[in-house]
Amino acid sequence: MRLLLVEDNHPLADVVCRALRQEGYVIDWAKNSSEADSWLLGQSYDVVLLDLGLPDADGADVLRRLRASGNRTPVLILSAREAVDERVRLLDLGADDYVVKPIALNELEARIRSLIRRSHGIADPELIISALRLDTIGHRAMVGDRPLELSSRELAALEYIAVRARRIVTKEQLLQALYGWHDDINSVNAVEKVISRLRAKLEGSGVIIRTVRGLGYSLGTDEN
Amino acid sequence: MRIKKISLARKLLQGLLPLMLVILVSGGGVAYFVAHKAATVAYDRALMDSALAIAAHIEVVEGRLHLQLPQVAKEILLTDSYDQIFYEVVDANGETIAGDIGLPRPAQPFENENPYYDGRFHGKPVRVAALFHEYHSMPFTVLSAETKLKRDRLVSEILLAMLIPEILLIIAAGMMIRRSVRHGLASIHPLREELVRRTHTDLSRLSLTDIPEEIYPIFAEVNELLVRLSTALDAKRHFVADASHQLRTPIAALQAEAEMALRSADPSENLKKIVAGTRRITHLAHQLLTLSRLEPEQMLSPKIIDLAELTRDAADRWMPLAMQRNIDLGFELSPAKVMGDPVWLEELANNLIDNALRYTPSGGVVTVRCNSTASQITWEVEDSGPGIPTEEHERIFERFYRLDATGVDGCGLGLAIVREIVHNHNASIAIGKGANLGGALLRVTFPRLKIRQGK
Repeated sequence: MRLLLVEDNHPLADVVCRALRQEGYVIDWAKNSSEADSWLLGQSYDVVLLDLGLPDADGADVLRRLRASGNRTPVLILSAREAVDERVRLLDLGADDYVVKPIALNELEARIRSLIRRSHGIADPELIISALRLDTIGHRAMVGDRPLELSSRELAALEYIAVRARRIVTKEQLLQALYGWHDDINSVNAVEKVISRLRAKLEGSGVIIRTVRGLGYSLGTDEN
Repeated sequence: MRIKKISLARKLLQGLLPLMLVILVSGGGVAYFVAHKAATVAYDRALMDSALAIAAHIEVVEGRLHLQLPQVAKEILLTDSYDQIFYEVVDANGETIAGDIGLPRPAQPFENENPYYDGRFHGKPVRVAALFHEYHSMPFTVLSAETKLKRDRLVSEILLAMLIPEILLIIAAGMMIRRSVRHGLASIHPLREELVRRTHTDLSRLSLTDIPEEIYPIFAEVNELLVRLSTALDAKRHFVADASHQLRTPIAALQAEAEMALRSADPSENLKKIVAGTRRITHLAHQLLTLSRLEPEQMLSPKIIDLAELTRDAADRWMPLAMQRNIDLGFELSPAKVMGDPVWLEELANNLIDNALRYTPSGGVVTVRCNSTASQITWEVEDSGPGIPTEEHERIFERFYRLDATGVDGCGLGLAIVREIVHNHNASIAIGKGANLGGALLRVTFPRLKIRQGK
């Protein structure tokens, strides 16, 4: 899962990035609105964390431009402004959630997970596909009663494909979701390796990752 | 302090009454004169008629003048319902021929034919008419006199008739003034009630309909004051809101870092960041407090300060940061006396130098100078940093504004504080490009001391 953090305060951005990376997210950091705009133009994100008091503009402008361009990426406003009017204004502009600083990391993470689920129309934090049970909160995967031993990248790939079950996920999307700009490995090749390891581990779960030639992957069950 | 209240009605009366009394007194004088003259003319003629009537009864008996006044004529001529009537007939030698002996005689020589004059008879004031006449070439004088009761009565009646309306007018005017003042001021009672009802948060303008023109300017000024007050309060409120926003972000970082420390097996890195974060919040709190104490019109306690001395004395405190950042901090100080508050001037220097040290890359140079010329005193800080882009020169003094993308972690209040202190010292600040070091040059210019005092 790939997140964009738009925040001008360095210490806060730094700690939020570290915390979310630990959770297995790939996260990009924009420290002003123009950086945010260019990130959003070149990447697709699962959630955007947006501060309002940016040095060059109001964060609301970033949101407005994003929505005006037809982009429906979930946006979580992370603001120091607590006035109800401000929350209403931002939610009406198309924000999906609004939290006031300071916020507990647990809560921030939970809200991010909730936004991701919602954006894929999933209400239950636990995904059950055939014998596979995917806990998107505890970041664990089980096949029946047997826990699956997955690396954080394998788990992230599985989550990414699972929430988009029966839809096609391109290798480029996976690449973006799994690797940040600063990661050394940064090629479609690496994605293919992750998927092939994942396939091996999913053996016997009833869940299969199909290759859609020329496009990417799609998750399904062995019944169809 | 005791408040001395003045009454408008009393003021008006005090102004008007003396004038009205003068008019009353002079009016009374004129009335008396007119009344007296009218009464005199009317009654004198009657007195002369009596004298003529008496003269008609003079006869010559044995070669001498003799008054033959019949009883009926006597009763008619000498009876009056108010006054006592007297008469005397005197011959050419001054001998009394008949009547009441001793009536005041006319003064000699006579200016006109038949004089009237005042005199006393038997201790009473009387009016006398003298008629010069002759009978068979024998001259004689008839003096006809009466007491002045009815004359005085007429005078006082006329006088009263004229003065009573005037007195009534004065009384009425006094009452009208009181009433008008009360009535005129009654229109501000609703205003008073509005003020009583108001809480300290309601600083909207007073509605000034039906306010008498004379006191309107006062309330207009009150309204202006309310506007100024509410502007100042708005600015304060804004500042507090801004301040709370600005505190939330570093606190959020601190909280997140603490949570990360709890999750971590080895939290020492997190703890270091927490310490640094706490230091930043402390600095921010200090800057916020400084700024909130710098009221725009707050009078400082100014003295004559030598900027060179002040800079030298405070230099120690900037050295640690300069050393930490490996910056060559130097001073070029010559005596420069200004009028200012030493505490605020030091705060000004702190912020300028702190700013320069933060924005100059490691290994750079920062120079602090002060100088005195014939027309002005300058205090400047120059650095070898990247300089400040021209388009930022205005905004850089705004609160919480920071140069974008510099990666320097300041709280964005230093130059706002500098601007306020400069403003309070009637000084000015300019941003330029340093000629010596090539970076930013911030120059504060003070007006030269007008009066040279002390050494």
